[in-house]
Amino acid sequence: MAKPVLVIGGGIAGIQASLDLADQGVKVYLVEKLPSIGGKMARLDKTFPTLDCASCILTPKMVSVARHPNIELLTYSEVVEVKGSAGDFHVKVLKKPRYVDEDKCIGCGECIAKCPSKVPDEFNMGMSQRKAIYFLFPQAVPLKATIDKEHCLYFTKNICRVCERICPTKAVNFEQKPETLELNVASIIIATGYELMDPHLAATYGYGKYSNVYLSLEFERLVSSTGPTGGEIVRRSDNKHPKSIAFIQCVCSRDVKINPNCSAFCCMASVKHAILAKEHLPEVDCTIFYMDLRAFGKGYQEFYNRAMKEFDIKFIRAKPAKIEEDPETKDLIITYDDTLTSIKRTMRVDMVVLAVGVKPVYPEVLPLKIGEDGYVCLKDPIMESIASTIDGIYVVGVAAGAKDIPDSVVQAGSAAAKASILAGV
Amino acid sequence: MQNNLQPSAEVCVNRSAIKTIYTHFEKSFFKSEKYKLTSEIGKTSLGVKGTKTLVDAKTITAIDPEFPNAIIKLGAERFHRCFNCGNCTAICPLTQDKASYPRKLIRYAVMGLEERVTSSADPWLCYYCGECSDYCPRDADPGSFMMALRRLLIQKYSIVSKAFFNKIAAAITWIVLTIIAALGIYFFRGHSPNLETVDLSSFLSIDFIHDAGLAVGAVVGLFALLNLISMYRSIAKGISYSYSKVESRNPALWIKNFFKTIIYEVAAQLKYSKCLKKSRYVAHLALFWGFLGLFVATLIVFGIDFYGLQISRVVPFVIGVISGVVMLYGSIYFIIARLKKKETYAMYSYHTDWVFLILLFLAGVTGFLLAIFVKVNLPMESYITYAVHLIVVFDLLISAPFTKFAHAIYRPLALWIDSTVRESPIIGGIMGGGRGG
Repeated sequence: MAKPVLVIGGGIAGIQASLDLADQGVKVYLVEKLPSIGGKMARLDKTFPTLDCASCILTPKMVSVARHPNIELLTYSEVVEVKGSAGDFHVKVLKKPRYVDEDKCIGCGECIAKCPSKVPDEFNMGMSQRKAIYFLFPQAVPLKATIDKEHCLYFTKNICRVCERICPTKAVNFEQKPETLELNVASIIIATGYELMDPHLAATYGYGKYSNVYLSLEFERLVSSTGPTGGEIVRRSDNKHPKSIAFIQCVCSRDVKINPNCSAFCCMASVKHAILAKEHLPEVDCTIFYMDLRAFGKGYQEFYNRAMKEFDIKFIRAKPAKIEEDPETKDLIITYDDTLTSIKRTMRVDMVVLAVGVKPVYPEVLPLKIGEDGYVCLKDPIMESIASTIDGIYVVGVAAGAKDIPDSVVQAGSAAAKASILAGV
Repeated sequence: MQNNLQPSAEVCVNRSAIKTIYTHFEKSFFKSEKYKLTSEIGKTSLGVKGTKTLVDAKTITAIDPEFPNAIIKLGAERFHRCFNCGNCTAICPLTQDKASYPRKLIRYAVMGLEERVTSSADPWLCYYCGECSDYCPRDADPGSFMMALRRLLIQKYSIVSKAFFNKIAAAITWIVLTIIAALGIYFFRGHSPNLETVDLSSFLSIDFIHDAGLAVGAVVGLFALLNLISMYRSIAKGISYSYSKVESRNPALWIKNFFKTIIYEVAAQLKYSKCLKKSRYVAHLALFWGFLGLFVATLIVFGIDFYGLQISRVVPFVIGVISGVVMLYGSIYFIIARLKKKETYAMYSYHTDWVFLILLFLAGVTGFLLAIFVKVNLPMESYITYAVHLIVVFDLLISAPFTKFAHAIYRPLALWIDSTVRESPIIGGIMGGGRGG
């Protein structure tokens, strides 16, 4: 009988690792700190280079995870203690209380409709609002409501409790307590993904100061039909369609003073954004300001060529130094040195999208050795690029180094194979 | 190179052997490693669209792989890290349109295109605000690169300058100059200096000061002019690469811009005020005006003593005191800045930076000490301080056309040429055309 394996992180890498292990007969505990699995991929509209709908290829896997008899899905949970060694880890997992009984909740959403407390929606990068009781997104797995204690009027002011009254199955339970589970696993796979770097570190671009400067993930939500504007690309300042959009690469990446690493996928992500912008608004002028356009994967160069030829997207080799705002129109003026013609210019655009760099996220409780580049140290960067320095603990996905979705999926499978050996399959 | 053009009796001279020898001779004589034979490349048309700049093979391939090392030795150690993103040029408050420094110059330097770098006037248009270095994502320090270029150009414009830049040569040169000045004072000293009361003319005759001053002035003036001509010729070589259109035929424009440069950039240094924090601008203005004031005060004293100028001695005395204070303020400000190393421009100091500041500071300090000693009537102390003061001033002035001091003539010339010749004048706002900083 194989021992179970712990997968930390419910993004595409964690999902794939869980499925690959479970299909071999290994029991998997999939721990995810958010109320739903899906990770960053769930926020994407389309994936490059094929422009596949991200949800369409992700959600079937999410559902498989939910239904798989070998996977125990522990969402809204965090790992709080790890002891032991390869083959015999003792892990404590804290299940945070949703204040909703998961067995009773049917995901009807009545509670959400009636909740009076509004909160900026983190899933939509703060560009829309959710309620204090919420689904992370409409296709959440598990589709169980979660109460955000910090914004719930009952917890903060001892009033309301409308959700409790409205719920048809009486699933709301304000008395729910956190639960600690003790698990004994053979191996741990870390797939905790990334966060965006703080764009305020690149202060000259004016993110936060100028309303029409967006982050890459914000633009992704803007373009998504499930996003805050239903897929309409409109400016924050005046709700109008932009006539010109500039994409700036290498923001908080490849800069020794901020973050020397290259974040790998943002060049392709911006090309994708520019193409999607053209698909939504055929008249828009898209310009991508790049230093090196990194088209490192299969089909990426063709994707880039397609952007230039078919979609007439302009590429300017320059790192813009600063962005200024026209206070009346809220248009943005970008100052750059066009390095291929050696002419310094300014460009006026309606909207700017910053391709912000990424930094990995790791569970604090694990004594992982972090290298100088901020990523976990690997056993051997060439031949064992998913093995951490601790035996039995594997790191996959962006947590092991910035990469795209195909590579994350492949690494997940590789870690599953290695973990299954320890599990005793 | 082997010289076997004298064949031995046994060897039969054949054509192909001579051809090989001749080609070898030609290659080593014309250093064909550097220059490809013209027949192989031919002439090409390069330059910004709309111009007819014909560049021949020699200029295209005039690459010197050792050139970057020369710049590294002058204090810019990391510029080869540049990966040409253009951030520095874009953030520079002074560049616009085709004025693409520092990136373009770094690119030329990395590629070893020495002539394009040394024929550019751009290094003199940079005021080392340090923004480029602050924002460079590779920490390549383009600000230091521009500063190293200025040191390089000073050496290029005047061969004599090399004696002041190589550390050992500089040490020897300063010692020699100091000895010359000291010897001059020794041989021309008065034979019975008054030891009861201070009488400076009994220590050194006022005629000696006057004649020596004129002589030094003449020598400095002559070399300054020669160096300016050298600089102009150097820039003229680069006009085809840096400027797209030479609008230099209009003499009225030249004259107008000459006065504009003097008023707005030499006197008021307005460009400096735009891209730097105010205190640095004020301190530099103080250094300049302080020095000028002291010079004018000295001229007025000469005028009174030798040319019958009817002004009270109080006038030059007051000008001198105010100028001295102002110049001391400036020199102390920059000495402290270079010790603190907080501001970008002050983080790295080459020895020429220190020598210049210390000489100015010493000139100011000895001047004030002298005035004090004279006032409280300390003869021996006054005479010694006087001698030191003269030696310091001599060192400062005689070396002026060859050291960092020379920026006082090179910058105005660069600004003047740039404003007149460039299609879109780099000095926007004040000098007309383009956007300012």
